Amino acid sequence: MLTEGARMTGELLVNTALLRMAAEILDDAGILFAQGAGRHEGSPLTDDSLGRSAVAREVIESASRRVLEAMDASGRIAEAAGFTADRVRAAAASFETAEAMIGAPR
Amino acid sequence: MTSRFAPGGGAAGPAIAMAAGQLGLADPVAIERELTSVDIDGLTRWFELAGTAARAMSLGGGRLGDVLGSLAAGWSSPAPRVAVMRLWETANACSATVRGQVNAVDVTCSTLRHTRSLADGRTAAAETTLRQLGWHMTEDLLTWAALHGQLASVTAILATASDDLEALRARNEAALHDLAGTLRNDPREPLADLMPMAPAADGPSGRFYPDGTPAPGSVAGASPRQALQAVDAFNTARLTADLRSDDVATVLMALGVMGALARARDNGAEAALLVYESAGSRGQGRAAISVGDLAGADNVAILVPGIGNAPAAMADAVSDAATLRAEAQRQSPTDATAAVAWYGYNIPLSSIAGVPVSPVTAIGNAAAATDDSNARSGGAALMTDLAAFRQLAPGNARWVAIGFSMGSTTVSAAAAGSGTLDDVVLLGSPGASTEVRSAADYRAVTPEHTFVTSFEQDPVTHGETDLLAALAGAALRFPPLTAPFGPDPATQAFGAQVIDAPSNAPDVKVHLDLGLLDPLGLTSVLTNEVVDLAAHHRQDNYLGGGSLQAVAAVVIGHYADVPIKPGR
Repeated sequence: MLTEGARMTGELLVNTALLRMAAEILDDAGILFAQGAGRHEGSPLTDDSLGRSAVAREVIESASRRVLEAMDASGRIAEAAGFTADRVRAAAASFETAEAMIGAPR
Repeated sequence: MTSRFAPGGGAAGPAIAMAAGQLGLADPVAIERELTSVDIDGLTRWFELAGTAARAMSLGGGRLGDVLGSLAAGWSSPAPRVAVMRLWETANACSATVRGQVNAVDVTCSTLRHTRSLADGRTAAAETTLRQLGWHMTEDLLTWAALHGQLASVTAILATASDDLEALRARNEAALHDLAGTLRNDPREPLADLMPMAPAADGPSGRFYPDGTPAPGSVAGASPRQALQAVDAFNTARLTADLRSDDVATVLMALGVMGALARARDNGAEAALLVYESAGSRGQGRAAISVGDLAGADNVAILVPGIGNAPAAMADAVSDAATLRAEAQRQSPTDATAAVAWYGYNIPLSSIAGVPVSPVTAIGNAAAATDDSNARSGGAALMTDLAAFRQLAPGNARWVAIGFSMGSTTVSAAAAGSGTLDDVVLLGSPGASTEVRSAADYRAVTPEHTFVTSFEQDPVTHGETDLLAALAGAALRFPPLTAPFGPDPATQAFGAQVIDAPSNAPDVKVHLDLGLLDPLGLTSVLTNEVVDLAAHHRQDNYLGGGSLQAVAAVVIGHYADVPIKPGR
């Protein structure tokens, strides 16, 4: 079960079909995020690509790092989206199991 | 480029460059070449990947919005919607940072293109004007000008070209400076709040230490954090076992390292025991302690000590590592920096630090202070350990090796060997090891990424150490070595970046008047050398004040903040 956010105090209402649909959309989002974490051949920039000054070297250094970090960010968000989708699906399955055990419609 | 000439003035370029130099002007040919050879397309192409990432995060974020309706209708609890909202906010925040950086790159590239087009052919235009005056490029320009009464005209033409190109270069530098500022933010920063949603870490997997001396990277298949935890736990267990040893040297080292670990954790920083090999009657042992979150570090600094140190007394070095890390974090709060105190080589004169060893070992250890032999073997050990440490940190972390005194000789020897480093910093160096003649000989790093701080008052950096070592070494070997620690890395000829920072210790001069007993005043000279040695040649002096700020700027890659001066 998800544990983030406020606690529930009222009646629990669940529609597992909608939860599975939400999980699929989360998977879609994960695929989109993952496109930002694609493969690369490495930075084409060398130390003196922008000149030999200290600031030019700093830009090269930062540029090499920030692009990789941007791709890493996209990849990590994709993972988080996929993970959230799995949790929603697991929750739906748990509700269905519980419903089957209780035998009462919700 | 559309110039009819090769960048930098074509055939007349050398004559123009020489004349400009004789007139004390900046070389227009060199500046034009620099401005026209910037790899704008490379920078643009590279940031297209960041642009793709920004678009992906934006599109993915948009799709997340579609989830909210299904979740609201399918589950009355707000918890899943809150989780998705957080994901959406994180994606948007990351995307906004990356977009900002991509836009900044676009703006800078636009400036670079503009200055390139203005610079392209500027020297050729000056050449054309000079030819119109009647000069032919086979003649020495200034001699011709003097003989033909054209000195004022030629000077004006060259000065204008030089000024124009310098102004364009200044425009480039300003644009790059703005870009450097924008690129100082890690786009993953918003992810810190998202991490609790990430999959929980499983226990460490892979093979654990089949023998008694494992490399940290042997935790196959584990994440850096899992591997770090496993390595720390393993080494801590060895240390704990050593506390019960019958060997005094073994117990003393264990106690010393335990104290150093406690010092590292004093300020709430994370610390890990990366290397632990017991001391004994035949040696001082080996240890390395990281300060800060190595597994999440963007930058890792490795500090290598000089002579007279030993793992049994590494608490002060851990404090220096903590100080360096704190300064790096102050300068770049969005980057995570870890610092490692590495006592991994056979440090000469370790008995000064109170290591009880056998007389034979002590003599050998003292003799090692007379040349760079331990530094050279230590350099290889450093690179081996560094390769293992890389498994404990993120793959894109920067690695900067910093050595003080004999430690700098060790770092230099390491850079001459295999492997890679992002930067090296040599502090208070007696020499760059006999492995190299200049920074160009390094295989692990380029001269532009080799930094040196040598305080003028520090006698160790002025060859006195070579002299003393040669005298001491003469008793032990034949023939004696004249530069047993290698070349002075603070010289212009060495080709490194020499950091412009003053010593933090006060200058104290002693005058001893011994009258007839010392008519040349040699005792005073020697005494002052000793006073300077004690005051200025200290690791905490090199890691204090302006020198500390400069070294920290190197660690985080903020090269524009490192003050540089010409070498000796």
